[in-house]
Amino acid sequence: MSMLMDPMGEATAFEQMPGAKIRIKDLRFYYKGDVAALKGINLELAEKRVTAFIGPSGCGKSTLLRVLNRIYDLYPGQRATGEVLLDGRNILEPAYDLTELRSKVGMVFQKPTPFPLSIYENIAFGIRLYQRLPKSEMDERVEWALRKAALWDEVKDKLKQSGMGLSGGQQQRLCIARGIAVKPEVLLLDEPASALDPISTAKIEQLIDELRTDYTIVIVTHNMQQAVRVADYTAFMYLGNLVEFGPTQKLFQNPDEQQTRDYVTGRFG
Amino acid sequence: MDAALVRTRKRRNRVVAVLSYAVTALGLLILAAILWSLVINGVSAVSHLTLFTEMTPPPGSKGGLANAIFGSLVMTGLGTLIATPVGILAGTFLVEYRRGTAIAELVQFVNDMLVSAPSIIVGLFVYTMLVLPFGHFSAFAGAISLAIIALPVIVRTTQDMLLLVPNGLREAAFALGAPKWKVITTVSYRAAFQGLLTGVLLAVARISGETAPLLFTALNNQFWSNDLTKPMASLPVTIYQFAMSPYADWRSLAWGGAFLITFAVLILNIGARAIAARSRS
Amino acid sequence: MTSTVSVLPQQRATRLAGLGDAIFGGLAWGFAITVLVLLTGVVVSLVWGSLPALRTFGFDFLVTTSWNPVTEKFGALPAIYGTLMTSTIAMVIAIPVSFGISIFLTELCPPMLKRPIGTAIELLAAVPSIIFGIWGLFVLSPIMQTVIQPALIATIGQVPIIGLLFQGAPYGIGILTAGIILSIMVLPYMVSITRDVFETVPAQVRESAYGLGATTWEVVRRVILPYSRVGVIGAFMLSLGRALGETMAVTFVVGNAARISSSILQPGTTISAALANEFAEAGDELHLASLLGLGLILFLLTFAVIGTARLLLLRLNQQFGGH
Repeated sequence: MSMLMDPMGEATAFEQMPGAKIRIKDLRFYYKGDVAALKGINLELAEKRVTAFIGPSGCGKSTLLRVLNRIYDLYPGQRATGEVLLDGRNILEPAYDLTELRSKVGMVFQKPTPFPLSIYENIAFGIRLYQRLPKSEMDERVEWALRKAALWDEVKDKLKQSGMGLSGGQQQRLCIARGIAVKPEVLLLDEPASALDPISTAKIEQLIDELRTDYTIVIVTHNMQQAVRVADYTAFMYLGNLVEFGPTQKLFQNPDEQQTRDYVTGRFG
Repeated sequence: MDAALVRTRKRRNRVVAVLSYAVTALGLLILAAILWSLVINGVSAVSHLTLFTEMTPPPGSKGGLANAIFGSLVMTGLGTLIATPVGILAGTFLVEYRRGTAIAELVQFVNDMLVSAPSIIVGLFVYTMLVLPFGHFSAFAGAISLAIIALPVIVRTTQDMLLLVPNGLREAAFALGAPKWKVITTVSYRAAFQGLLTGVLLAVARISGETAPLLFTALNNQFWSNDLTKPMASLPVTIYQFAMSPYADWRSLAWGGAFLITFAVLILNIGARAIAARSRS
Repeated sequence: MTSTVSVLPQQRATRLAGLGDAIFGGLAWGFAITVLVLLTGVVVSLVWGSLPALRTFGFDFLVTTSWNPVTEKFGALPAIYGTLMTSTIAMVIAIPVSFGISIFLTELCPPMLKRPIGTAIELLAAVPSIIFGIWGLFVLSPIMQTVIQPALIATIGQVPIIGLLFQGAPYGIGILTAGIILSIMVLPYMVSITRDVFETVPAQVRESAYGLGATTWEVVRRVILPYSRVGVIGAFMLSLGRALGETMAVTFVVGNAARISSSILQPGTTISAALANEFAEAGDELHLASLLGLGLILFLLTFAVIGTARLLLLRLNQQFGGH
């Protein structure tokens, strides 16, 4: 919590940070060999809040996100050391069940990734992995997820059509709906709006705002304005290190580190 | 979360994974067994140097494959010599002259069909064109059928490789006022040289083991022949004839020939890959 | 006069360049057209060559089973049956196996082995088919005769109806052996295309499915397969085209008997095997024309299959090339 304390002794207007959903301790990550892409990250992600990771390309922000549901496991040779505690249990333990982890920690990618299935089946895909639901309940759940993702009104008449026929923005909301449908606790968003037009981006940001009450959300973005708009907390990363972490407003208006100040004011790229 | 469901899913996944490992092992095992037989039976035949110096023998006596090796080299070489300029220029037409037009798409589609056409059909075609009218089998007809099989392979690779040449290079040459044919021969071909070479090597590999189209074009010849208008022996046809025979000497020679061909084809393929890999880096 | 002297070299250069372009461009055009002429030539020569047989036998050529050079009665049915049957057996074996190997290579294989195994399979796809034929004759046939065929006759052969396929004495060679050899021959080819098609699925789509907690099998079945369905079917049909037209892998082990048996353990023949065996020795016109007729049937059969496959793969390329 020390990072939250104001070195100037001024009274802070920021809320007390709520309990941590995820605690990251001395996390190091290697794509291959001994060159670390993350060089000892220590960070706590607040429950039911939005945390943004910002920083220049290659700083490790996406890498950090990919550790949080161990999607890097798909690529043998990539490895992580240290601890990532989800509700107190270390997800980096080999014994930690990946299926369970991914049912709790959902992920949405930069480019929309609808499966080559119908809109309905795209949502049902995830649900069927964990529950056997009768048709009526499945219908309800699909509708619930699509409503949550603010997509229902646009697709309710064409649930049987392919998800790949939707527009880019709709596809991305479909992917968010697919992630929500599993009822995860944490939602990881990897630059979810960077491939979208401004209107679709606004819709996604609005959606994140509505989801913050129910989910712990972590978003990677290269768009600093977006971090200011959606995130409660922001972490600034540079060259595999966490430079500074704090409430978003403080980090952007009154950062402690010179590097952070330079970055948020656009003085280095 | 339905724990039983998750367990069932994982079990099903394990079953599929085990099956997948099993068929991979089976597939690799069979392919290894084929190479193993080839080495075991082939090496003992190839180790007699007479294989390279003596002619194919009459039934029941010892001999070599000298005339068949020579015939294969002649017909493969001649086939490649014919197919290479034709194939490269046809590929050039598709990329440099008519890229994206209907005629280019048609030629490309027909060419892709020819790549996968049964080689025995090519043999029939050449038979009706070059054997029937002249009344006799000939090495020339054999070389032509090999050229027809090599042609679509060369067209295809030429096309792929020329497409990789950046347009900026061509434009720079045109901007100097060079005529089109000069731009193509000095800029495009030079930039794609290693790719074109790879294509030719792959085509040589493809035709050096072809048997079916030679059966009724070049036929076979028990003796040494330099005459392109006469039937000529080749390794694949000799292998076919000798392997189907009941004589142990002939069968051994068939294994020896099979070993030589496979060895040559693998070397050509590895060479082509090495060149392709070097041009990429 | 003085002015023409100074202009001449440039004019000559331009004219030469024009001439060079005309020659070079003309050659390129001519050789590209050669590709079209070749295909047309194949069709014309086969139709023309087989006319005597088609005129003599008419439609009966397709549906009669006797193939007798002595009595000059020629029916293509046994060869057509053998071609279709050996290719069917080859597909029944090769499709699941290549599917399993492709899953292994794209999803399960340790990265250290991925390149070596992938390269080995691609190299094997280049091995000439006669090698598979000679191996089938000398190695597989004895195993079939002493082990596999007796076992099949003793087990499935006793089952009603299906058992009819597995009757008779174990010859070693025959339709089944030819089908197995064909399956081994097309396997590397099939695997290398199927694997390439699987790899057209974007990494992020795969990751999304794994990210939801799906297992490898679920990702393959529900995401990769639907995504690459067109390409996979294209790969299978391309392999089928190869199996239908294959000569040397089959001729050694099919038995070369122009008849149709209910049992797949019995010898049979295929179109290509009949051509390889009889063509060079076919003396009289009707025999030759009948063989060319077989060639025409094979041509139509394979080109229908390969054409469909190419169109499917073309569609796949446009689907992903267009983005």
